Amino acid sequence: MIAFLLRRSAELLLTLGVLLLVVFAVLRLAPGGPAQVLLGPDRYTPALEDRVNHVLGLDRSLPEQAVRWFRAVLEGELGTSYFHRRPAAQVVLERLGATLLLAGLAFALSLAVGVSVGVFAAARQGSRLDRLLSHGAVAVIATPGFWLGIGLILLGSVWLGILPSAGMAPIGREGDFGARLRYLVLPVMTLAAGHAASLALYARSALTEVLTSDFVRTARAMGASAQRILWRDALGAAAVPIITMAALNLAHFLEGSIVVETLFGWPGIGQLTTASVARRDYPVLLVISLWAGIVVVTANLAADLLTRFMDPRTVEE
Amino acid sequence: MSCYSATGFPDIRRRLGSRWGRVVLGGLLLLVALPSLLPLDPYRVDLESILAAPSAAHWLGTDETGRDLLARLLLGARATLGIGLAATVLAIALGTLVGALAGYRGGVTDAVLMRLVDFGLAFPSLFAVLLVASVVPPGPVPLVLVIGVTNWMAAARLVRASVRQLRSAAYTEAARALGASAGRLIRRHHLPNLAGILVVIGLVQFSRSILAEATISFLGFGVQPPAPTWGNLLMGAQTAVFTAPWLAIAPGLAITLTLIALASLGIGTAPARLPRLAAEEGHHTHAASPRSAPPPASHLVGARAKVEGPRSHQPAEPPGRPALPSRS
Repeated sequence: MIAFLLRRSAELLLTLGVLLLVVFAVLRLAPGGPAQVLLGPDRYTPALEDRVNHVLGLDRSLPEQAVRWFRAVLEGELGTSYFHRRPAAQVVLERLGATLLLAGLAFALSLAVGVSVGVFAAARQGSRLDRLLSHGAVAVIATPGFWLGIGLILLGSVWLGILPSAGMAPIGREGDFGARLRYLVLPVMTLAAGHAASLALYARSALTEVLTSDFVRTARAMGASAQRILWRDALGAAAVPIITMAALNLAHFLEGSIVVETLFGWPGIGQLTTASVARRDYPVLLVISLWAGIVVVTANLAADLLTRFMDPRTVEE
Repeated sequence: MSCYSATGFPDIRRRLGSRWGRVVLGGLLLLVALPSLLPLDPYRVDLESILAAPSAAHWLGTDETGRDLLARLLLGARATLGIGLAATVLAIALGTLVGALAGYRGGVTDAVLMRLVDFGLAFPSLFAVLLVASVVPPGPVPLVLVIGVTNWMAAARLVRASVRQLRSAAYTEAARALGASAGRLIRRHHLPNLAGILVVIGLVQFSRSILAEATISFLGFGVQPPAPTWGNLLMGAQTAVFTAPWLAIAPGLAITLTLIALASLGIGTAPARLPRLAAEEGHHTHAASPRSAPPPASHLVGARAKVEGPRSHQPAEPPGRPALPSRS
């Protein structure tokens, strides 16, 4: 187990290293630079651009920049945001809470709804309701998040007029928890919908397979109730792949949160991403990539550990 | 397995030639051809009818400068489907190249390339796309390149798996024993065998690419207005959603219906083409003949990954997963 952890941690570090290299290459090799953005169209002159590049260290040779940059990253020095004029790590960390709140709630919701619907459909396999749910799930998966979000805004904010369409809290009443809750409804639903649908399909097929196995037949023969077999025995046996799938989905929540946060004006990392792309705020983008990489490899590791913990058969000889 | 041929071509042809397949393909072709056939001008500004609701004159209404939404939607189909198709071709070509290289060479090449694939599959591609968007001026060509380059990994993995399997197939051994060169083997025997699988991945990848284009353009980093795509039409619609909701409904519906249509084509082909491959990757396969009609959703997700045996750190995608992109 310890050897496994060590090996995985080494892989994790290697992955992050590759990621940093890729990010560096993309940001430095491409034409156009932050100087134009920093100076703006009014103050821009080629001479000033050179000066800005010199101050930022962008005029040195690429390998030199790469080495300097890697060393800085290792020392925890992730650069200063061109736009905010503050440490980029600080700018990103400030947004972390909002993103975690949104993504965490959406993750919990999609897990609860997805698995419930999947189990429900598996128990009624082949029925009209099952077909309806499955086709519904496919339709939800085929719906892009941004369109679903606009649709929910139409429904909740425009036609019903009961839910706010943007922001995180009412202005001047940031402390009011009840009021803040209403701002969460639409973004959380938008972010959760697709994952709930794919989890439902996945859980349904996992359950379907388990329900044909011998131990289920035995349990049935011994007089266990249908509900007990379904929710305890069968779901228990199918839990490992479902949870693994859910953990791996975590990475894609990051992608979803970019779109959802931008659409709903949610002040999290996703919105910061699109804003920083528009501003060419490279240090911030770098920190965000690093954060995305860490989330992804951690989620993978968590999925692996969970599988090993819950199913001893998966331990390698 | 008797219902598909060794090459896989006739089977795919039958799927794509089924009634559903004809409807879908015909619909997509029609979308691309219509802008030239209809007397509609997607760029004509009509300040008399700004944000007009759908009417006889403007079937889908007009946008904030009075341009006809139907005309823009149809022209947008060309951009979205065209970029999606080109990106798909690029992704499949790259994936085939890498997958074949890894599969034939094996050893260190295989290990390194597959680590690369794992890495690429794990990293959310939208981040990569946005990173590139921050340094490259937006437009159709960069979009095709960036979507293609960030989406070849799934194809590489499948091609590698089938190449490894083809390499050890009995007929390969037979052909080799008869003196066939490596080049002839690949050209005459392996490539035709791969064709079926490539069409299936292509379908999945096509919907992923369409969604990717729409997402990037929606975020404002793709094709720039006034040139319409389904994605940037929705970006424009977002700002007017309180006054002109019809602007949001039609483009979104277009994307969703296209993805559902492609998914249903994929459902027809996926279980038919992938069973042997799936078996090799350690998944349960559907024993049912692809022509029998099992409950629909079971083919949408394929079966769960088997739990026995050591897993690699990322489970391979279940073979019959919906022919749909991951969320974004």
